[in-house]
Amino acid sequence: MRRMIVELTGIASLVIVATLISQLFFPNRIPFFTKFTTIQSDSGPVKIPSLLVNQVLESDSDSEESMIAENPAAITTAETHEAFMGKNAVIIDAREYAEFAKGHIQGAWNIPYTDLLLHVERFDRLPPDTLLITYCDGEECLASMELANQLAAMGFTRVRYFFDGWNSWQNHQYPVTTEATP
Amino acid sequence: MKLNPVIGHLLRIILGGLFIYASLDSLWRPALFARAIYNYHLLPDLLLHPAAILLPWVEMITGIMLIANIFPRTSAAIQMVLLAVFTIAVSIAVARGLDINCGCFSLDENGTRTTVWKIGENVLLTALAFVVWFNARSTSPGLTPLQSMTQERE
Repeated sequence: MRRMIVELTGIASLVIVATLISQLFFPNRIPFFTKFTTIQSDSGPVKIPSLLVNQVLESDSDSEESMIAENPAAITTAETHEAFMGKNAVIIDAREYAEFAKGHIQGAWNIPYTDLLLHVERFDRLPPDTLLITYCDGEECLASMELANQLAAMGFTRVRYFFDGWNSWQNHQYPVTTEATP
Repeated sequence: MKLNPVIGHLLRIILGGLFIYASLDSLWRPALFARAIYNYHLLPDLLLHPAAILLPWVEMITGIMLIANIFPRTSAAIQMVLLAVFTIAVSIAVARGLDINCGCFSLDENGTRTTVWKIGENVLLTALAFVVWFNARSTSPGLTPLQSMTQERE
């Protein structure tokens, strides 16, 4: 037993030393302590880990503000509906094709976030300041944020992710369809 | 259940190699690994970064220890616990109908998904870790596999 404790201590020490070295020198390192970003959802401000909404993870500054992503940013159900009614946004469903076929926001494009490269030509004719709104099931899924990050990286300056997503849209009984979008 | 020493050493090296391989992608891309952990919705958000940073190093160091035959019994015990935890996590994900990247070997989107097959694979690996733990002798640090094999024959 004593031997095992000694060995465990040895292994733990090595893990700590390796972690310290990696936190100093690894180019892809992330901060050791989870940083949070406050985003606006339908039920009020929600704190989520910053790395979920921001590709730029490493920061030499300890300031939480430096981790907050301005683009993409979160958007509520009401704001999404307003953009939908105003027809001044492209709404993009980031879920899988099968999920989209079961029902989606009227007029939404279906671009699973893993397949953006297959659909990239659809964005060629859009000005960079087009309002793009991504969504997936709801706050439990990351696909909308992943896609929003990729679109922002492509150079679009007004990318928003609809944090409460498809579940909230359905709950509000806003227009949905099962028809494919041309 | 004591194995032939040669087979015992072979299994130990295989297990160590698997853990080293499994840790490489997560060590290099901790942000993606943190997202993979987040997708399970099991760990408090506060522990997301520490887990994503520490876990791959535990895998890497216990893997190296096993191959080098330093503290093999304790290393195998740690890996057994890790594999049991991973198996439970994948099982919960499957039970909840989550189709996510398991974060096991590759973090790419086409990496291994959480499926019943993955649970089976993890159970087999846990059994392998148990066999290695059961057969591993507590050896002095620095003893090479060849030296410890010689000791066992004596």
